Amino acid sequence: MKLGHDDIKEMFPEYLKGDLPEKIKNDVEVHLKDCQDCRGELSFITELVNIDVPDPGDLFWKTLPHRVKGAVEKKRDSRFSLKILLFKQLPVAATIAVLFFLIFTYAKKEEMPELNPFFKDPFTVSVLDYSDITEKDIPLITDPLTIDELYLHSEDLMEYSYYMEFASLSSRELGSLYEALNREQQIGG
Amino acid sequence: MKDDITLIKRYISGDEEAVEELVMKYQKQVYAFAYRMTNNIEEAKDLTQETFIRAIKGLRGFRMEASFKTWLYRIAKNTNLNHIRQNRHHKEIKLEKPTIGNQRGALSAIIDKEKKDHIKKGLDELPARQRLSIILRAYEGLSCSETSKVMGCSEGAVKAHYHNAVKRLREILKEKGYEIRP
Repeated sequence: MKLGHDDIKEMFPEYLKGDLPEKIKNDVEVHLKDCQDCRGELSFITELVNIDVPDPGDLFWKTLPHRVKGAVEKKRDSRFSLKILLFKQLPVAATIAVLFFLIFTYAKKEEMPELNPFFKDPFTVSVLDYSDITEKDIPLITDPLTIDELYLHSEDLMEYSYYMEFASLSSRELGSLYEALNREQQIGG
Repeated sequence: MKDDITLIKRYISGDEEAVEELVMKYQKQVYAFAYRMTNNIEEAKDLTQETFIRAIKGLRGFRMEASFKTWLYRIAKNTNLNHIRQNRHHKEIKLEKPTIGNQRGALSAIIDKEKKDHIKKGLDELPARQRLSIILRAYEGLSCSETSKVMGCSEGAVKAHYHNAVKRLREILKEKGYEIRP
């Protein structure tokens, strides 16, 4: 098959690169000997190909692969991923939720309101204010109470009074008790 | 250099180093293409990086039976054309004023430099498809079939764009008074 002008011109990039099969290369060269127009176009393509591209420098070539890798990793990390959500974040969230539930149920069972975040007991230790207690008050707190004081407290707390015992005494018994108390007062007991 | 498909498979299976090898293999070609599209070193550097980032991000969607080189050029083409479209008012190539030196052959060097600048300027003025066809065919050495895949058109259309581009550039040089002797 005889090659026409257009076919020959089409092959110039490959011809210049040396990529043509030997037979076709010979055909091109035979055609070029007789065709001034095609020789002119080949010269032009040669000029075109010889226009250099400025070198951006070694630093650019050496750093580009690393920069591309870094940029791709960064973009991948910042993007929403269902896979990461399902396999990394959801199990953590589920573990936290289970722990929270266990603490809540334990606190409820043991009646430990300080561990229960949903129940705010105003009388828990943490909410009491000790700021008005001075050093003088410490013995009052630490010293053991006397029998009477204990009695008073128990009377207050348990709605029980020793005066109730007087009510059950007869007038004679009350009279003798009165005399005994008067005697003790005179003696200074 | 390792086979492209092997490198892609390594990356997909989690080997991040394969990315660096792929970039190293094609960085010069992608940069040269970007420079010829923009005629600006800094823009070409940025566009080279952008092309690779887009390519690596889309690597999982790459069909293994296709040519990675053609696929990469296609991404480079889209990245460069988008950039050119967004910067429509991009600067004109300024032809440097010739400085006459005393060296032997200085005059012919100046003429040669001027001629190259006119070719660059002419290339820049060509319609995008004609410019692409000449860059991919003549500079990047892609075959007609590969160029058609990158440009997303038929081989016949590539031949027509290439032929018109060469014709127009030769006319531009002729108008400027440069004779290309066979």
